[in-house]
Amino acid sequence: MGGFMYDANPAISAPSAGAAQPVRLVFSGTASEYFSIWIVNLILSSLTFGIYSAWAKVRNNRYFYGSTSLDGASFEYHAKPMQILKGRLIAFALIAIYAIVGNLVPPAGLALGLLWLFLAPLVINLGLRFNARMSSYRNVHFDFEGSYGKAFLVVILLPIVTLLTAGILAPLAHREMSRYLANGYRFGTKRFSAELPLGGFYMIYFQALGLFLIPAIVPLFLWAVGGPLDFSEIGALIPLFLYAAILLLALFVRAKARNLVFNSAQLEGGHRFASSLSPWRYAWISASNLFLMVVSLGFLLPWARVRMARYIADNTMVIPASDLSGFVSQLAANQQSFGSEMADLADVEIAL
Amino acid sequence: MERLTGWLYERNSSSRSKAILDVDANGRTSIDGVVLGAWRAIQVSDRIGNVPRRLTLQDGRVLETLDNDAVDRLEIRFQGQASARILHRLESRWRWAAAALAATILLGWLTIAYGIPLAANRLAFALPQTLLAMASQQTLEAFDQLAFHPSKLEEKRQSEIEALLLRAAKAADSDYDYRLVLRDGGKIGANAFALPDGAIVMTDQLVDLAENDLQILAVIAHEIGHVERRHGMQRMVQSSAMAAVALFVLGDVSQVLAALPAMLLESAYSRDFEREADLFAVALMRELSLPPAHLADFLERMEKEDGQASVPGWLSTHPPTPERLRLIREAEMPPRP
Repeated sequence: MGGFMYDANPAISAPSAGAAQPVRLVFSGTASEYFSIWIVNLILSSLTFGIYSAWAKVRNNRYFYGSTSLDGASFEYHAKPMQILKGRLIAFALIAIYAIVGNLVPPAGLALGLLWLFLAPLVINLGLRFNARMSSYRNVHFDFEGSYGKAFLVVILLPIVTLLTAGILAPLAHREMSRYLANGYRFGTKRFSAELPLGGFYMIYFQALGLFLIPAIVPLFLWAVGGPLDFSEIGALIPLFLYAAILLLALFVRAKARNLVFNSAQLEGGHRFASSLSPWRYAWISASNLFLMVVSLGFLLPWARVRMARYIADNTMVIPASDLSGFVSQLAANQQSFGSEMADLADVEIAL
Repeated sequence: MERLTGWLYERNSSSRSKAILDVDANGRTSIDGVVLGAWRAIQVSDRIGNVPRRLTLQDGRVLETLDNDAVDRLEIRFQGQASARILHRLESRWRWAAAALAATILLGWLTIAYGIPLAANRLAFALPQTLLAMASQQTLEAFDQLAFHPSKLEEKRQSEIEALLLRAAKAADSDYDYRLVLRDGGKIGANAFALPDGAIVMTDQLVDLAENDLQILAVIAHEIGHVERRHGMQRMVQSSAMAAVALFVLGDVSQVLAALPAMLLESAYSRDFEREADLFAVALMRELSLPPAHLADFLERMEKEDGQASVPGWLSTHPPTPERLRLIREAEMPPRP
């Protein structure tokens, strides 16, 4: 199937309504099954001083990918533990160098920090591409194509601008980040794309502010100016209270934004997606998971992860324009570039 | 002999059809009746839970099957590799999982209760003096910028307090170069803390709060305890170690969440340090032939001044004052002959 027939407006190649029958993602993992995988991962990682954690990550991901299926076929994770381990060793070495240099020669540490700002987009792109390429569905691998410039814009520049403008541009930054991701992924040789309305993101943030932050801040403000409310009894708990409000706000925004991105995304060929997360339910599941993990000292984590994965799968749908058999792996289409690039050498993880 | 059913994918393609893979007693395979070759030539993905297995056939086609047990039987019979299945066996036996759970809890507890404090202690004493000085200077600079103002005490009073410090430092018989840093505490109020390089920072408000100079001396003795036992550096090492451990266990869930237990444990470690410094002060006061009760008296005074603690005990960096008073007064009793 030639690529050019999809180069025209994707809407044209989408068949008329009626042909599309939404297919729901199914998550079939269970907490008891995952618990024993998780606990073995944890104990072997501790006994090997963290080296096994690379193997653990692979088994973990293989379990979650493999337990998620669409139309009778499951997702697969293909990374090899050694790739993960190499990536982690590189990251560890970089952090160690930064910490040592930063402590002994503060100006050099600052220079390294600045250098990192410029390297981060590159590393993030590599990580995104590695993870995409190591994921497959129906025997076809995903891929991610990004550019340094765009990555620099969305991971460095816009967050800084957001900070400088006291968050007024946060919805813009969020939208650009989502747009970068949604337009960068590939399934086989076909591209994902999404036109994300800026207004939609501002709407989400306004709603979130109205719902969480204002009820949290107004009483505190009234107290601070000497109003009728008195919080001095629980003064020290106020930061915790604000922390909870901000956490809820972030969860609300995350669920709403995911819906927006999925509902506007499509895959070349007219395949569409739908996400129907309820922000309330999502926030409730996340917050109660968090609470239960803390009171169980982390041992309810497997149950919590399975619970969340099931909720997400239950609320994610693909609306195929046609049978999903027409995809060809990038591996076959462009064999040379696949194996030869650095992205396949190591999985570089970054935590922002 | 064995029969696997699943989806058969064309090489590198998403087009698929339902297929049946038969394996005869000699390990010869055939798909939908067409002979394929030996089972050994098929690449089989490791088992994990009950997620589908991926069988990459000799010709590049892929069979995705849920017949995990049949695949395992074939692997044992024709490949004989037990090593690949060890992990799944560990993961699928409840007795193993329960043993791993118990071992994890034990290991975690040992790490937190003994491992980290011990390692932090060793490491703190191994750190070079220049590092201590640097960390101290940065801390003091930060406080000066954020809250402190130059001391408003008269010079005569300042040198009196300095004399107290020298007296305590001499009794401690230490390699540290102790020195006094007096500041107007601003919004911090009455407080004192020690920096790792031996600088004892004290606010004017604390000096004013003390009923007599011996109480100030007792506070200085407590702070010297923090320096001698290198609590500041231990705390730094411990908090980074805790953050690393928490991130390791909970990191893939939420980094925010991972910070929480680290914070709680840090306060717990800090309470241990306070107790240790209190006991050090008691010993030092005895060395000077002074009643250690002055420390208890001052703590009581401090609590009256601050009012009831607004932070719950498990969040606090200091043990509750009544407990500290009891500890100090018990330690004060001369040991039984």
